Amino acid sequence: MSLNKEAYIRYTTIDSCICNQRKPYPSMNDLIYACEEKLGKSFTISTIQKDIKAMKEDEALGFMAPIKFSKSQNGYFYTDKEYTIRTVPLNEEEVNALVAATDLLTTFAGERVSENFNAAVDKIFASVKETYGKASGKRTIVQTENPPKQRGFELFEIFFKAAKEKIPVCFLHFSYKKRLFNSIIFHPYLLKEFQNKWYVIGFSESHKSVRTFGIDRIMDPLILNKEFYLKRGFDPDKHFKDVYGVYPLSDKKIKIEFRVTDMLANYLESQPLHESQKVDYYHEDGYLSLSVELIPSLELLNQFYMLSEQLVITKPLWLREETIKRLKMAIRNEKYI
Amino acid sequence: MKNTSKKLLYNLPAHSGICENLQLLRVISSSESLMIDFGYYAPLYYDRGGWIHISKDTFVRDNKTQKKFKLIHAENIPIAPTNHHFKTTNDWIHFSLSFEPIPDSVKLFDMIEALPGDKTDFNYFDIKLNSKTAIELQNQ
Repeated sequence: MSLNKEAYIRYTTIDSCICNQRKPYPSMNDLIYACEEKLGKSFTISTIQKDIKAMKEDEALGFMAPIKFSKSQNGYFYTDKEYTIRTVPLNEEEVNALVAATDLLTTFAGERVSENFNAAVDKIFASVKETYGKASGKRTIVQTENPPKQRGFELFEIFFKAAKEKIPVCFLHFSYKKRLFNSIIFHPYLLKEFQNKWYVIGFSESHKSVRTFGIDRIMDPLILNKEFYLKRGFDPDKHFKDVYGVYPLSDKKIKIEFRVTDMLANYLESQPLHESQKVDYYHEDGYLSLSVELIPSLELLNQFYMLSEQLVITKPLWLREETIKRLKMAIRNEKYI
Repeated sequence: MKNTSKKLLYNLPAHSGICENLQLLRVISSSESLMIDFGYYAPLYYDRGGWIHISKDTFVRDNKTQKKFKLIHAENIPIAPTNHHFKTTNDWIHFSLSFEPIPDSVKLFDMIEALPGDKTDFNYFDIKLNSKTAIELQNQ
């Protein structure tokens, strides 16, 4: 459990104790005991005192709770009797819906959402689950891919903000292929995820064209005070509509024909490579002749290569030869790597 | 010294002097410092790419007045005698050197690690600060 979430659970516990009409004016010992019961660990007076101070004064937290200590009653109370930090009145159904939604969101979004958003979700969890607690040992019923954290992911927010607010950036980039650095003035348009990797697409002044960069290869972005350039006619949806992946090899859509084994045919019929995929011919033995109409891309080549045990490209010839070249390279590497 | 709090970026500034495997990428000038960003890729001829460091005596020199400005901070590269050892010849690193701020009047400067220096020293000459292509940075 994050420290943040634990602190929020203590806040809501303190709030519950102070609001409890059956046992008003909880003492410091009552608050410590309630928090220890709730979280199953020990807390010092100093921790709870800090919590009370934060609830009263921390503007970022936003409670500004009117907590006072009554000497005559030897306990804490709210000067405003209507006050509670749980100011959102939700009924049980609404709370359950919120819990289900936040569960789904954290499952799907995971680390792809910002720290701020996670903190907000934590707040909801803390205040909602304090009352409608998640049962211990809850079964996981949706599990999505959870790849290792991508290098550069911490830059996601900078590029998200820059693309949203139309702000150019300058970043450093190292080309693995050329073994050269570059410092690129970039006008980001779009963040795109493909196969669990994030890419940023925009206009590169260095290349004088719309380019795609893996976020893992970007270093030291600086926000510029410079006019944003939006390339006329650039439509991100159109730009990627006919591309499988993120690195197109040309700007023209072509028809790619390929034949697959009966085994792969089952998979590709249930999950097509692309929305343009069509069956051109059903062979008697279960083999299929298929085609897609796409802009060829690096990722498409990789995909064909990965499936090459059960897939043969028939047209165009250059794509067929490219795949064969990669296979030969793989055999050569078997000897030398 | 600079009389504004603006940070100015000089991207890929023109310069003379070539250091093997080292690329001068950006200069950021402000009232606090003059920062230079570099990229370095390990050479193939050293065992496992060799090592790099920067001398604490590295300085920036105004080309016109010859006034020197000291190195005040090195980011992502150790100060000699500590070395950064590469693991392979495929390794690369980017680093930044920050110097005392230079006056607005400086338009051409040198960055010197050692004089007379050899091909392994990080010496760059006539680094041009072209005000026409300078870009202001937003406060971050």
